[in-house]
Amino acid sequence: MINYEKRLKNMGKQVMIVDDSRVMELQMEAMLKDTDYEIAAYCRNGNDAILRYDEVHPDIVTMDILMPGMDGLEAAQAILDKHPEANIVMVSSLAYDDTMEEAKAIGAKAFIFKPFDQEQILAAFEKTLGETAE
Amino acid sequence: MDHILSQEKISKIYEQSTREVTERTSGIRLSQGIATLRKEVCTVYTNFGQNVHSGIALCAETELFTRLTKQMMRVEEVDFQDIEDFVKEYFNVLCGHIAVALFRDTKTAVRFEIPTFYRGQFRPENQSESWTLHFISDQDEIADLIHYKAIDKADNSNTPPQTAEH
Repeated sequence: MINYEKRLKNMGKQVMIVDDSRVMELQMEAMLKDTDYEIAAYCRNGNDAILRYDEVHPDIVTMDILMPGMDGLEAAQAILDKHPEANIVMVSSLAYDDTMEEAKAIGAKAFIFKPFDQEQILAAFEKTLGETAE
Repeated sequence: MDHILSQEKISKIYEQSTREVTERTSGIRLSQGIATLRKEVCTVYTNFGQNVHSGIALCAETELFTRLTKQMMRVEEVDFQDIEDFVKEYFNVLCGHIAVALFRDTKTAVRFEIPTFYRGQFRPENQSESWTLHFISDQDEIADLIHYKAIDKADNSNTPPQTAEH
C-alpha cells in the first residue's frame, strides 16, 4: 500500500550528489528516476560541495568518502559546521567501524555501502528525512 | 599486511571479494582457473597506503571490462572513457570490500588510493609481483588479480618498468 502522506512529504526533494566518479551520477540518475527525489546538483569533490551547498540548499546530500583533495568526511564536517541542519548520507565502499563512527560523530544521518540498490538508497533517504521531521 | 596474514588467507579474501563484488555490480560470474591472458588487456591498479606498502592490480581482457561496463550502465554501446570510469569505480568498490575483510582479521585499517587505469599491462614501480589469482568469466574472458609487495630498497635495481600508458 502506498503511503501517500510520506510521498507528499518527500515530493520533489532536492538531492545533491558528491562523488568524483560519474558512475555515481549515472546510477543515481537511474535510481531516482520516477521517485519523489530529484537531483539538484552534482559535485566532483569536497570543495565544490561546500560551495554548491550554499547555492542549492538541497534536502539531502549523498557524500562519497574517498575523493581527490578534500575527502568526504572533511567536506561533511565543513558543511555541517555552517549548516547544522544539513542532511548528509555518507556513501562508501570502505565500511570500517571507525569510519562509520566518525561519520556519525560529525553528524551524518546515514551510511550506505557500495554497491547499493534503489531500495537501499530510498530507505536511507526516508530515514534521514524522517529523523529531521521528528 | 603480508607480515600479519598468510598468503593463503589474503588470497582467499581477494578471491571471495572479487567474485562477490563482480557479480553484485554486473551480474558477471567469475571462477578461479588456470588460464593465460590471450587478448588485448587493460589494468586497473591501486596502492594500499599508510604502513601496508603493497598494491593490487586487476589485469583483464578488454572484452571483460567492456562487458562489465555495459552491464553496470545497462546499455549496449560504451566508449573507452565509459570503460575507464566504470572499471575504476568497480575496482574502488572491490578494494573497499577487501580492505574491510582484511580489517576483520587483522584489526589494521587499510586505506587505498584512488585507482588508476591503464591500457595494457601495468607494473608499479618499487613493487614486485608477489602472487596472482587467475579468473575465468562465465563467457570465457580472463582476468588476473595481482598482489604486489614493496621491493626492499637494497633490491631496487630490479624494479620492473611501467609498460602501459595511463
